Amino acid sequence: MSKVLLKVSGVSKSFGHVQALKDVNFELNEGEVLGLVGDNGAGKSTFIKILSGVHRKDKGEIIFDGDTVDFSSPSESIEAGFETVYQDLALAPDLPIYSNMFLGREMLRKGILGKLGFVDKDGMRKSVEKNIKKLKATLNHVDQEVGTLSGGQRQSVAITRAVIWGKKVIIMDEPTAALGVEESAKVLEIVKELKQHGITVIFISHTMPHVLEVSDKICVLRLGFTVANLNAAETTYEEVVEYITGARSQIEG
Amino acid sequence: MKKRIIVGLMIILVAGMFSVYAQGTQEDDGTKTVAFIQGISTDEFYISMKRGVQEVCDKYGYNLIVDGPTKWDYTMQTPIVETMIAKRPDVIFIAPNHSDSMIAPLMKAVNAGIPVITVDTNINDDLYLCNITSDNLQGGQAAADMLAEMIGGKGKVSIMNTNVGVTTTEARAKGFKDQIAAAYPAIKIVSDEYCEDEAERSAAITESVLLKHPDLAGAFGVNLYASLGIANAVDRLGKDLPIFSYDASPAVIEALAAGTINATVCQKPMEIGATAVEMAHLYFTGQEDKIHDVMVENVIVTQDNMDDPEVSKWFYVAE
Amino acid sequence: MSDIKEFSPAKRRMYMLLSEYWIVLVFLLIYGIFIILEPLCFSLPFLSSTLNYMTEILILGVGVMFVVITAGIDLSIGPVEGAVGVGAALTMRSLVPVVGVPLAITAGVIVGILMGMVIGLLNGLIVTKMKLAPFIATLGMSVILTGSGYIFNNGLEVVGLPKVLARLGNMQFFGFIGTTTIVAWTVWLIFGIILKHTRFGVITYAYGSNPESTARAGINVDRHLIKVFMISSTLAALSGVLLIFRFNTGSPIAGANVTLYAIASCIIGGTSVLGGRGKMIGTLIGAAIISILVTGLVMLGVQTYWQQVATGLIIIFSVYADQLRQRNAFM
Repeated sequence: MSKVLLKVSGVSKSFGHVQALKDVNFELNEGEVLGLVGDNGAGKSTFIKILSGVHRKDKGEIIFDGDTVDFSSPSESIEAGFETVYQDLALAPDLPIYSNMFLGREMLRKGILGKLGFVDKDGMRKSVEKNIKKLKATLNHVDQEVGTLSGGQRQSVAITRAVIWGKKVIIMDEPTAALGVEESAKVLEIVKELKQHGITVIFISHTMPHVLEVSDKICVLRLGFTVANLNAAETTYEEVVEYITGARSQIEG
Repeated sequence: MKKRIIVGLMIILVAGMFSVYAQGTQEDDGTKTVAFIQGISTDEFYISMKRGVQEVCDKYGYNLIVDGPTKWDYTMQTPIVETMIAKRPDVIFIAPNHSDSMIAPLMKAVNAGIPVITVDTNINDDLYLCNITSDNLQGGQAAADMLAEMIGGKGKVSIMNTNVGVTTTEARAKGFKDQIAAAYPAIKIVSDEYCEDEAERSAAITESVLLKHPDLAGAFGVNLYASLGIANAVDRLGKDLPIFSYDASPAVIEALAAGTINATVCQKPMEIGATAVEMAHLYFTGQEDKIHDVMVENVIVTQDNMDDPEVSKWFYVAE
Repeated sequence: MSDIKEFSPAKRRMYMLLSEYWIVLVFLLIYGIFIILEPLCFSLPFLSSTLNYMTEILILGVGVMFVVITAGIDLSIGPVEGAVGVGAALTMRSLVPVVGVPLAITAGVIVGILMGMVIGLLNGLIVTKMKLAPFIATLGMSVILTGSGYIFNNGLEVVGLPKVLARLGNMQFFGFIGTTTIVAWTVWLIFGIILKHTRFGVITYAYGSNPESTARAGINVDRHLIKVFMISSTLAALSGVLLIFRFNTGSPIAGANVTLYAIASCIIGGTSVLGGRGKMIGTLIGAAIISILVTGLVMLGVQTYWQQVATGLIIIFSVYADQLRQRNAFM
């Protein structure tokens, strides 16, 4: 697990006169979980949108899997291997779990039927069941409509979808924000499970205990700057909060 | 500076308007102008009426101006009347779109010294010079008489109407019903339905009627689509009974020729138009005492008489 | 997780069946009442005429259902019938002397279908590129089409068509199934399969359920929506062509009233106007209910405008029932 998968250095971005990002830096190895933290307006969302291809950076360098990347559209980011699990989850509530997981990439039947666009429902169901088992996610019927699932279960669907598509990096934007204690615990379990399967995760959260629980590294943003890159095992709740609030800094202000 | 330009422009505009007005009145060089306001400008009935008006106008050397709303709607017809008044014709012919609402606009014409002759439909006021009609009520009666004759004065018959509240088709149905009730006690109207002016719906309704009353003796559809639907149902169920339609538009005549329907009530719009001009001529030539209302007879057209030129000359034209 | 509903398979099945197919019960109830009040309703000719009347509503309903599932609406389907009625019939009539009857009819059918495709394409482009709500786009289109019927033929019926049309259009199979009925049910089956079993169907549901997520899944949603509008218009065009075959006449006012019946058939059948859900079987039942109300009430000697009242009540009732079901499902 020593291979550097993602190296971000000096990334900045401004919108008109507002400089949302000034200098973001971190390094992430394959299979690690990065906790990205910071106060509201620190630049977390802007940075995520750059990684997922929604915005384009002004300056700086992003090296992903050995290549310099600069995504100009979401599809380029997806193509490269990033999957963003949005706060609103981007699921179709009326569709069953398996359809959601294969949305836009449906398995087609073999032969002429496949050419006509017939979908292989059983094939998709099986694949989904296998991956749900692999991630130890709690989902009962793959035919259940996503709209009838709890918040935590929907997270599981979104995460499993990313895994099915063999993504290298999963970006999770506040996955536990709207969940109860038990449901949050389940999501954190799945994040750990992802790590077991060698998937790299960028975990954005305001809930410090959750960040500390699952992360290997923590990158603290403040006013568009990376103010600290911490090793999760060696830091404390208090220390992280001090960096977030500006009471402490690794760089010269 | 700006003010002066505006004032100047306004003077020109007003002067222009006066000169147009003057021209309009100055046209009294003896040539009379007839203004004809149709009930619906795209309807073959009124297009045919216009032809009748045109022919007699040509005979007397009158100018003819024609306009009409694209829908049966008095709010569309009123501004047309006003425009016509502004053109200062010597007489106005109109098929009023509403018997009450059209009184006020036509009163304006009379006050401006323009006599009004109502054609086809009429208004609830005696401001008009005369009324020339072969109205739908009478057409419905004629259909009842002919159908009664065809079925031997007894049996079950049905009516297919179009939409609730359409005056022309309601009048046809009413004329038919009243006449059956008044003159043919042995004939029973077993169904009186509306097909929303769709042949498809008329067919479905008629199939049910025929299922309920397999001995149905005859059917009256108040317009083309109502009767086309009846014919479709009768044909599908392998029945044979006289089907009546209304009007003599090219589509109805074709259905008649093909044997799809058996008879239709043909009004004489051309004669209505022609008669109106004759009445206007009496007015222009000072024979006002001879002016009177005219009820133009309808003709029932069947396969038997449709090739007779005395009958076919009344068929409606599309342009 | 402890809060997941654990349905026993049997109970879950019952619940599903009841909530999805209660409208079938409504249909059976209506039909049952008609039979009790008028036993003649229980006969092949009655079914035949009901099936026959259903065809127009069913074909239009199947098409517009795709649009409704995307949370849109297509108000132009009726006027498409009228425009195609004039366009296809004029093509046939003018080509008969040139290429003979069979080719002229074929050409007329092709022109009619092409008109439908082009109108659907325009509707789709207006919605996706000009970003107008489907309601506005198709309302505008329907007014344009109604007007163009007048422009092309002065608002008059097109007559003088080859007689063979009506012979083809009114054939009877097995003594009670008409040509148009066969076409309508074939359309229903094919598009039912497309909706349920193909990628196209899945994406249609997904778009109606959450357009944002469908776009994020890398699907060209604009192109998909255009295709959906094309299905709606093209089926309306097919229905317009069938009307020419049935009545041997091209009518500019054909379809003036059926748009709402077609939309009602899918809504009664459980298609959600909010998008994302709806079943083909529902639309079939919806069309059957609307149709049997006409044929049945006539059998009872009741004026058919009561059918409109009843249809309206059933629309309100069925949408309300669907809301209750949704609320239960999400609780």
